[in-house]
Amino acid sequence: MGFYMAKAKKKTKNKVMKPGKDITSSKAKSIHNKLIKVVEQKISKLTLDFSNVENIDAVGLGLIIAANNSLNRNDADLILKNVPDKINNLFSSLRLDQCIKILPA
Amino acid sequence: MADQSSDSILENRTMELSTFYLGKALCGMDILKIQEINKDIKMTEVPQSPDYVMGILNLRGQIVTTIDLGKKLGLSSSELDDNSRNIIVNSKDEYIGLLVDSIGDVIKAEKSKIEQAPANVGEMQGKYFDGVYKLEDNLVGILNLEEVLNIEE
Amino acid sequence: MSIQDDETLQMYVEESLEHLADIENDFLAIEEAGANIDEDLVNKVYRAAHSIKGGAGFMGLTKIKDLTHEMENILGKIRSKEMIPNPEIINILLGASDLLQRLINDVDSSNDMDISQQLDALKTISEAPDQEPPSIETLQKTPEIKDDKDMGSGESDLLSPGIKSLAFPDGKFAINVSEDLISEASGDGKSIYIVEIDLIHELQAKEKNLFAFIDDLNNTGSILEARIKEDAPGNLLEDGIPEHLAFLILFASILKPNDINMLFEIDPENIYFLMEDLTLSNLDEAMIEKQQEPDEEIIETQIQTEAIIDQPEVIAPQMVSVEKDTGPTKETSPAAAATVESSLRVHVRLLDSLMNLAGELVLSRNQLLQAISSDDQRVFEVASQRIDMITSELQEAIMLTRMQPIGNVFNKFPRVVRDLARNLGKEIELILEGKEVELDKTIIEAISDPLTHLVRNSVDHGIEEPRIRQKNGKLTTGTVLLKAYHEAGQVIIEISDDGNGIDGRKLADSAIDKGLITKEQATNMTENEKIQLIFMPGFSTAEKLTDVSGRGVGMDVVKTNLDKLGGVVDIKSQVGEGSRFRIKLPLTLAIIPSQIIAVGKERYAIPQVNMEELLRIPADKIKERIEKVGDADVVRLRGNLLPLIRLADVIGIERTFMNHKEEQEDDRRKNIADRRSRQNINIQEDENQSDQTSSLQHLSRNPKDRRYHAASAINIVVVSNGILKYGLIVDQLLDSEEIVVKPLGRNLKHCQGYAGATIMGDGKVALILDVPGLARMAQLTSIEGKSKSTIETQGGAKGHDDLQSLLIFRNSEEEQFSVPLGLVSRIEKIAHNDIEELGSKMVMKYRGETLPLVCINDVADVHPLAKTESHLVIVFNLAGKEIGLLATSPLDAMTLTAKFDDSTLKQPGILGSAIINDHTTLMVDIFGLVEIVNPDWFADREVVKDSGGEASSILYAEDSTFFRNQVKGFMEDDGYKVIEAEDGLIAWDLLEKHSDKISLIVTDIEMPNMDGFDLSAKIKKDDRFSHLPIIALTTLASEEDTAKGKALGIDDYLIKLDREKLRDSIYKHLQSK
Repeated sequence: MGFYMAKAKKKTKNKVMKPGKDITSSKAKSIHNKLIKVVEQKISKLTLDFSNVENIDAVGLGLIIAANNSLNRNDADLILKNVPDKINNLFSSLRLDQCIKILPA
Repeated sequence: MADQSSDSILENRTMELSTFYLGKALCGMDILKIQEINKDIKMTEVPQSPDYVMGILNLRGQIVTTIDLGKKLGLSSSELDDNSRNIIVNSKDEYIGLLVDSIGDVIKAEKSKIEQAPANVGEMQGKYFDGVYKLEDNLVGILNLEEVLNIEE
Repeated sequence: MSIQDDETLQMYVEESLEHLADIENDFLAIEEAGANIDEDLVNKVYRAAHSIKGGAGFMGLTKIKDLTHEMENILGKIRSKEMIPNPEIINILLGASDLLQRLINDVDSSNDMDISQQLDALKTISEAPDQEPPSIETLQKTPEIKDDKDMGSGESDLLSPGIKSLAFPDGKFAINVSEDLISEASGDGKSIYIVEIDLIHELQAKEKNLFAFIDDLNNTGSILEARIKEDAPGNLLEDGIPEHLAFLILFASILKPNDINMLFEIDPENIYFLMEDLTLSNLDEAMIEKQQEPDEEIIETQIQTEAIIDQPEVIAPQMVSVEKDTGPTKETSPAAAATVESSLRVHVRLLDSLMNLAGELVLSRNQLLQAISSDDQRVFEVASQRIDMITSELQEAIMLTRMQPIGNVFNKFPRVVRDLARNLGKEIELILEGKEVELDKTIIEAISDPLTHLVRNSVDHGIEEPRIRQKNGKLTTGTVLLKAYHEAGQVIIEISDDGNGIDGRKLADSAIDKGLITKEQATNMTENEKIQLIFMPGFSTAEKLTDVSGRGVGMDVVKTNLDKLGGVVDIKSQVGEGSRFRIKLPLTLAIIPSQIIAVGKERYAIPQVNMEELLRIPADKIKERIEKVGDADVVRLRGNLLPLIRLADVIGIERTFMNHKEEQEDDRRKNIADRRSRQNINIQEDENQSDQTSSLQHLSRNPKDRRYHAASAINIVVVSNGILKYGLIVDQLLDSEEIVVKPLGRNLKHCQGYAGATIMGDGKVALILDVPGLARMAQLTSIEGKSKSTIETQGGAKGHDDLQSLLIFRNSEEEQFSVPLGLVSRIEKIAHNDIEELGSKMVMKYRGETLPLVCINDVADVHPLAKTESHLVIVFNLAGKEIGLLATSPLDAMTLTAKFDDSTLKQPGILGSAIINDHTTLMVDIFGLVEIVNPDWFADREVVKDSGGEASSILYAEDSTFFRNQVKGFMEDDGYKVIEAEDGLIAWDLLEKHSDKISLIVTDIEMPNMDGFDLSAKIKKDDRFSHLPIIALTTLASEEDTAKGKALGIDDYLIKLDREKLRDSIYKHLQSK
């Protein structure tokens, strides 16, 4: 299970990605690769659709934060949408919502 | 109150024995193991208890099981009379009373002179004794308390 | 703002705390009741709040007044049913009452406390009852800005007012936070920390789950703020997969600096403590500081014997709190933060007794002094004996003052479980049993923490989430059972749950990983031993993190604590089923209420818990009430036969009886009857008392008893242990007393009939009887075939499938018969001439009515009834009518396992045969017999038809061929179709195969492969079959089993071979579908 790219128009510089069930250390390499590719594309907004996400661990969290930092450095934004409650609670406990825009499910 | 630690015995050359009679046999026990000696032998019978158990009594709030020492060692039942005494010992956190026919003197025994107990001491099995000690005109069988109080399963 | 003088204030505080004592549990009960509002209960809480409010206004305690005013508002609305109490509302009320308690405990500073948050929460509810009241969490996120607190230095220009910038000891910026959050937290008595934690390094690498970690934090405190430490490495995607993720977390918690690292398990250098002046300090400095704070809540209690003797007026009519200072003396149950509680509630009765003893001691001392001066030996002895006795009693009495009911500890658990369950999203029901069991105070305090740990463990790790439970076929609500009870000088506390159990293999693997055991050791361990690994020190799986309850607890600490008390703990667990932790505390000070009786010259005690009734049968009624069955005695009690045991016989002492003295005994007992009424014991006295006096005149003194001498009345104590019920014949009934259980020494441990000993008031020892032990002792004599035999009552057969109580008798002199004793109503004796013929039937006159009679040979092909002068009549009650079966002696009653052969010798009226006492014995089918003779008796129950219009099919599981054939026969005779199975597993298969046809299940309990309980549970869990009624047939009839069965969903519990009840039950359950 990995990412599958939603159809993104090349004209606008927005990208939507829908990660799979696990954003965890076991999937770290593959997620990292895909994210790096997107960051290098110099888009202006990356939206991660969390509808299918069930699990996230510290490494996964690190990836998201790193992605956010990288995007911010390029004046881009990271948005998380359809975030399930359990994960949303985690994010808000850690005040992640103060640096990344989060739209709950 | 008797001091229960056995270390002190090892250090001294002598030990004090409290002696008592079971029938005609003279036995002795390390005085340090004795809690007290009671004259009061009134106790509550426990029906259906083993035949050597005479009953239970109240010693300052503790239940003391009293056994007929002679009987436990294989002699016939003791007869209760004015000379009978109950020697209270503490074994494994429990108070047990040993009923004996009468109390003898306290003697100082030199440890080096304590000999190994023979297979039989009087009419009792040697396993109950730690050793024997020769007096001028008598032999004292020194009791192995734990062995005596051991319950055969 | 004047606060009234100290004394008035003190009284107010005490009263208010009393009011608040039950409030927590009351709120929980209100929540339980939900829409079903219990007005009285709500009123109770309302009145409590109202009283507190009133006093507060008078005393000038503004905050208390405001808070209770709002609480009152809401309670008023609930009381008038304008508002339905839901968990949100109750949560806020609970929070308010917690705060209220804190305010009252610290009443002098209560006016300075900030209660704005609670107040707002309460106001919001009472003003808008239809809206979802805001939860505490959201409120925390929007702090109000207060201007009456000046929060120190160092505000950055860029920050909005009210936001404080916190810096590390080295000056570097740490985190920004709202002042109010801080003051709120410290107002709550929480410690505030900044924790620098690398989530990837600490959690990931140590295999800790991120969610679990955050949950733990939220459970043990609150995250006030958090931010990512920006200068930490690995924050750019370009740097590769992150290896570090450093967070700064501002965390408020009740955990003290000493304990905070239990939660994080990181280098303590990375934890900073927020001081009063809002500077951060290192953790070890904070620990030293904290220790210097005196604990204000320790209040000393001393019982001064002088004071008691000199000032008897101290004692008030009701309960009295013993105090030294004027501090509050209410004993609050130890809260999670473990405030040391050092005061006691002591019953006035006990204080009276202490006073008396002290008085006696004084007298004896005087006597002693006199003896010394007069050198009188005799007086010496008397005095010293007295002092000896008094000292013992004094010792006991003082120890009793320290006894507290374990309910004090148990009572805090409903709240703990409720809150924890809510936080974890689980549904849990907590059952508490045995709250009244008393323990020494120090023990109660010492087990509080271990118990808390175990309960939290069950909730946290035992019970699964509702979703998972449902998937596994369990009820979504998990059950945690906390039970305390006595068992012969020990107190047992059980914590059990029906969760997912403990997996020994996983524990073993984890232990191997941690290097605690080797692989070889693990392979040699049994499953049980592996489960015990959980107690190994150093064992920290994910378990440890979540189970912090304040004082550094892990399973190994639980065990150590218990070891210190001299207790043991063992675990029984089954993966998927649940776990049971059992703590045994070997106390010699277990106190039980008991009934004292006398036999011979000794007294004995029977634990109250085993007592059912007291019977006294006057001399002239003995013939009527006491029946003889062979050599065994039974008494008729409300239609059933109760076996009797003479205590004297069982324990082998000479029988004696009381004659003259009974005259006095009677009088005493009448008083005792009055006193006992509060303990629910009935004394039955038969009607004609006057006869006694006349019969007593015919006494003759007998040292040995002759059976039922006309002049003696019989005293019977009806005892039971749940399964077994019988009557114990004793010489005298004495008082009921609370006794201290002392264990018997090892020499006496094997005596079956005793559960311990106790010391009576006069210093003498009395043995405590063990009810099941006595029965076993008596029964042993019967199985050995001696002249005595004892019987167990109906349905009371112990645990084996084939163990039955049978009545053995003859018809002709040569043939022996048997019938289940449980079906027998009574036994009469009649002369041959008393039998009358009515048409073709035989009858006899009995108490003005006609009792129909029948002989076995009327129906079965057996030798005819012996032609003796007198006959025995075994009376049964069938179909609501009585019928007597004629029989011939010898008559005996036995409990035994007998293999009945149901093929040879079977015929109408006879179920089968067995060899009993070397005789071929035919088992009488009394139902069949009566049916043939009086077919119209049994109401023709029509067969309940199933949906297909055919006779319903019943699935019947039973492993014993004999019973299976019998009961199957009954059901088929009634017109049903029976699908039979030898075992639970086979029954299940058949159920699946024929699911469309089967309408009802009848099952035995004891079966190999899968027993009745498991089968029933399986059926009820399965949606396809859960609607089917289940009837269990058994020889086990203890309340525990019935309760267990009912809990599993068994619809009815019957005794085997009770054909009528079975028929009725089947009909009822099929009809009601």
